Amino acid sequence: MKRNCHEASLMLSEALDRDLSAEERVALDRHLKVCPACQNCERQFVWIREAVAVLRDGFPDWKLA
Amino acid sequence: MSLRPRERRHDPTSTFEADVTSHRSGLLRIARLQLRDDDLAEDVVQETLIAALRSRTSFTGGSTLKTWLVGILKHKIIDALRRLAREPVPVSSLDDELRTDDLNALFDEHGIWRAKPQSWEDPFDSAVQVDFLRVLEECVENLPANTARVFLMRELVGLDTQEICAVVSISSNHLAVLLYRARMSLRRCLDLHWHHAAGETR
Repeated sequence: MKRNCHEASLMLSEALDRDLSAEERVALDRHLKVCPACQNCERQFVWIREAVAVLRDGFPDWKLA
Repeated sequence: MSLRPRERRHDPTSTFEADVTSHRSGLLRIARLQLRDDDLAEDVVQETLIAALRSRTSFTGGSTLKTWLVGILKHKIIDALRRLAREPVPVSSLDDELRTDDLNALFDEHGIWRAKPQSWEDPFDSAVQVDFLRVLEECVENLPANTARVFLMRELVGLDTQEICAVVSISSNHLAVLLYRARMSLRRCLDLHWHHAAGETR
């Protein structure tokens, strides 16, 4: 089944919290290959995760207003 | 000369105490973000500092002091979240956050993005990182309460989904909805207030 962006973005979020099934992974990868917008979404979800970790671990090196 | 042995004994202690206390504001920032309650955050940080000073012999220097303190803070935050979870949550607010109409509206009838996520510059480039973190923090503060709480339990405290479901008593399906809502909202918020704002000034 070809996933649309709505389903793909949901899978991208779930992939950060659990292991996707092989079927889910294949369908997601197939969609990502042809969808730059969802590729951007994937990268941004990961950046958000990494940035929260910096908020936690990076203090007080980051002088935030 | 007679003071020397005492100095030796006391000096490392007072230095340790000063070092620990110097991290207070950083710890408070984390606690405030997660707990959204200044008094509770103050209490949790106070407990953390007391616990740290009491158990200073367990700080071996294997990790940095900061990492060690954050580890203690996480446990204190989880305790506070457990206590909070026992208080009744206004059910309507959680119901609102579990509704997905607004998330569905981000896509057309074929499930295609109405506003496609744009390509961002690397937010960890030194030139933009501080700005990205500042905007992200504001975006997190603007998330609905339950959404923010579980998102930060996942990403800030680092709990797995089973632990979060146990602490806040929600199903894994509901948790997945809240985490999706959080990430989608933060993505949009950063797109609007960081990515586009940066584009305008360039």
